[in-house]
Amino acid sequence: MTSATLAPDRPATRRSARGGRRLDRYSGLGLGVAMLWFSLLVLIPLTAVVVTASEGGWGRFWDAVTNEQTAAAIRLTVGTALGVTLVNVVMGTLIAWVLVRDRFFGKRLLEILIDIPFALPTIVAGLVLLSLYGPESPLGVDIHNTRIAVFLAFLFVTLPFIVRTVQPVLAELDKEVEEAAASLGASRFTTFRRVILPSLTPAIAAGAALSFARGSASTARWCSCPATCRCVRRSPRSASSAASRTTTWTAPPPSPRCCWPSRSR
Amino acid sequence: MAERGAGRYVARLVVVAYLFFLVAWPLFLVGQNTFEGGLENLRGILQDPDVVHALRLSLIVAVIAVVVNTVFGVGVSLLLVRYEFPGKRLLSALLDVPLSVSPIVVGLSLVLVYGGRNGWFGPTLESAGLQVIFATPGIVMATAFVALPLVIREVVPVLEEVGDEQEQAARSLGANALQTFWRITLPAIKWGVIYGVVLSLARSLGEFGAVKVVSGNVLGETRTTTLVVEEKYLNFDKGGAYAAAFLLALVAVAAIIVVSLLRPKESK
Amino acid sequence: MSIEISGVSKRFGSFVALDDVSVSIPSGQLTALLGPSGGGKSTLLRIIAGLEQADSGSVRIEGVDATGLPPQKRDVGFVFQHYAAFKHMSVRRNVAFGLEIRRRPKAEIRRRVDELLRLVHLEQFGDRLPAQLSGGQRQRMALARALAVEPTVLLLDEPFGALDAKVRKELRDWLRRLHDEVHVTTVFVTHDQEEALEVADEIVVINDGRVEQIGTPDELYDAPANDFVMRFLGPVTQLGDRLVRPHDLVIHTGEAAPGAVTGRVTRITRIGFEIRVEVTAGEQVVIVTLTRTRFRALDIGEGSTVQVALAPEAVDAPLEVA
Repeated sequence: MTSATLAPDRPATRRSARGGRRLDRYSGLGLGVAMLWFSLLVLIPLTAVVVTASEGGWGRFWDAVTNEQTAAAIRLTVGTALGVTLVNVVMGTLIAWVLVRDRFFGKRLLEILIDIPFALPTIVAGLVLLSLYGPESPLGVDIHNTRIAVFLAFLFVTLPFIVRTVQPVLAELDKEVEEAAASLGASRFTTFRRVILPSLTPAIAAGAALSFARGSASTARWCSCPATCRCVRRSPRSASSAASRTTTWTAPPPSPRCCWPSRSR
Repeated sequence: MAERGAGRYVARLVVVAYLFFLVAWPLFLVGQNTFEGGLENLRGILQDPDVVHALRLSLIVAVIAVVVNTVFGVGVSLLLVRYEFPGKRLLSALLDVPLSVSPIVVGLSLVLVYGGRNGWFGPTLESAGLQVIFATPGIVMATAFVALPLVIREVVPVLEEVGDEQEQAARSLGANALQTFWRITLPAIKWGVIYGVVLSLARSLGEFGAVKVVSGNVLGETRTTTLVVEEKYLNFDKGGAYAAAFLLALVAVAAIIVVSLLRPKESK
Repeated sequence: MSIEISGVSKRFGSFVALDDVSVSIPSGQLTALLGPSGGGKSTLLRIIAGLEQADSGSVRIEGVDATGLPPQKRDVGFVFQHYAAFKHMSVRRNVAFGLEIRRRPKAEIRRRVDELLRLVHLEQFGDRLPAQLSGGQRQRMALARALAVEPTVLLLDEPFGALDAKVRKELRDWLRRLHDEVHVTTVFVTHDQEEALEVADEIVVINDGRVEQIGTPDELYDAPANDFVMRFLGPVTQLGDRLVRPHDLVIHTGEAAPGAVTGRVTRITRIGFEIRVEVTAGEQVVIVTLTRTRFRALDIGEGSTVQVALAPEAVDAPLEVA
């Protein structure tokens, strides 16, 4: 999924060694059309957000950010995203390790489970988690109005990021390098710490960045889905988050019919 | 060197337990909730004309968004890998932006530009008879936005892996650019394109936040399936919500399984 | 004896890699494990290093039973075909790795690394990353890394296999000279008979998971134990029911001598300084290689009728019926 951004030494050298062709008439036209569509779809709209956000001058932006409530919300979002990323760094690396190095019955099933959060509609993901950790939890744990719910939801959504970035790099790692370390007297732990981990660090960092970006961005999604919107409504102090706040100071919701469940009802 | 010791079993157990509690069991419970009263819940939503309309809308939107993204994605991948032009690295970085933008912001950004009343282009377009926001074009755009990088991410590495020797050979044998693309390049990157399409389809069907902002959520008109799930849940129609969620999850899971079956087994 | 291998067997699934192999490898010498690919020689080397566990049998290194020891405790140096360089560490850090693991004092490590880099002629490259070195340089770095911890035995798995022909020859000479300097018991795996004959003090020929013959290069070349060893160590041809070397045959143009075979020259090929003559005698095609001088003196061409006989000091082996 994300292998494109990884293994910086390999494709980069290959690409530069070969050298791309210069644009001719048709490819130039293609690039033009692609850029036009990309601008209309992504660049112009995102610029609009930035422009609108800064319309009242950066002073207002600053006020909005430093506003006590907003600041608290940002702290919550960033804090949660950081925590989630931390868990993902450990668990994601471990999962990637098990998937690459271990062999057992049902491994294929685990591979599928990892990608599901990525393809699952967010709203459905909310229901999915609610079914086990909500009011009717068969485990008897009802966390659905708490910060833990938000945390868990992020964990769910960001599950594939580190696993899928680390996995291909780990699979490509030369087994001989570990054997060399072992024959030089390094214990398994030392080999992991001094030889394997440094090779994985770029991949882990890339995955963590994705995870963090997605984690802080998806707060909004989670606050607009039933699993968490209630916690926003019922306990705004504890669980309202920066992303939802961001949108309120950027611009009011465009239509009374759409957006926030807290307002539409 | 064989992996030895108890560490391996501990690691395996931790991973299996983590995935079981985070993904597998909750997913299973959705299925269980759906079929709690037999097939009643499923039949219920499938007989509701509004829900059927929502399902159809979801499908149409997803198909259009996927087609657009596939054409765009394959073209941009070719440009990125095979050509040199100024700003290539910047474009490559910008193409990943939609993955990390909150869907709510995506929806909002589209409203700011294409909104009928105050948007940058919206009023002009609307006076020309094209309504974007609160109509199908807007939903398609929102969906295409969030799923934009998926095809590119799958195709670029494959294109790099394949190299351009075969294409040069085809050109030296007299094939023109279009023939080379159809007969050499496309067959070579076929699987990359297919993974990209399947992932995009799953993502497109499931998009919620961005669609919610731009759609207006008009019953029987611009309400998609994901919005139905929310609406049912908020109205305490738990059975219906779970049934609709189950349908969407089914598509997502099926897509992932297809991808994992198609993916050649690496590192064996 | 430095390494004592007795009764070692190893299977991978249904494939038998080693079948009851027993070998003694003498101290301080350079020993080659020679054989075709897939014959089990690398597996044997990896079992000596502890990177692979034997299914049965035992390995003793310098009198210590090493059969159950993990690689970390065996005190062996291992050099891999594809270098296995630690890519994120400089050349110095690579060489120092084993010493750092052993928590030697910093000053000692620095001194030892300098010494080794000099030994492998990489003094100026200490601060480079492995990616900035050529294949030959990387392999020399790997060798220095293995030697740094002063292992009791040095094991090399096809060390020059990934290098091009010229560098390969240079490194081969260099390894021989290095060994004369360092004198550590060294075992290296190769499928190149020329490499083994040129470098090794002793050669162990391994095929199909078994030891075919053990001996010095001269012993192997002059007295091959069987058909396989004879074929593997150099070019062979058939004369009647004997397997011989093409350069051990002589051609006469005169009358039929006793023990000679009469035939017709069907093809003449010149390969550099030698001439290859194909003589068809009945159903059999005998290949004879001659020097240019000898060939000119004979004054033969395609179609000539000639006598082929075994030179007096020739090595031959009876042909085994497969």
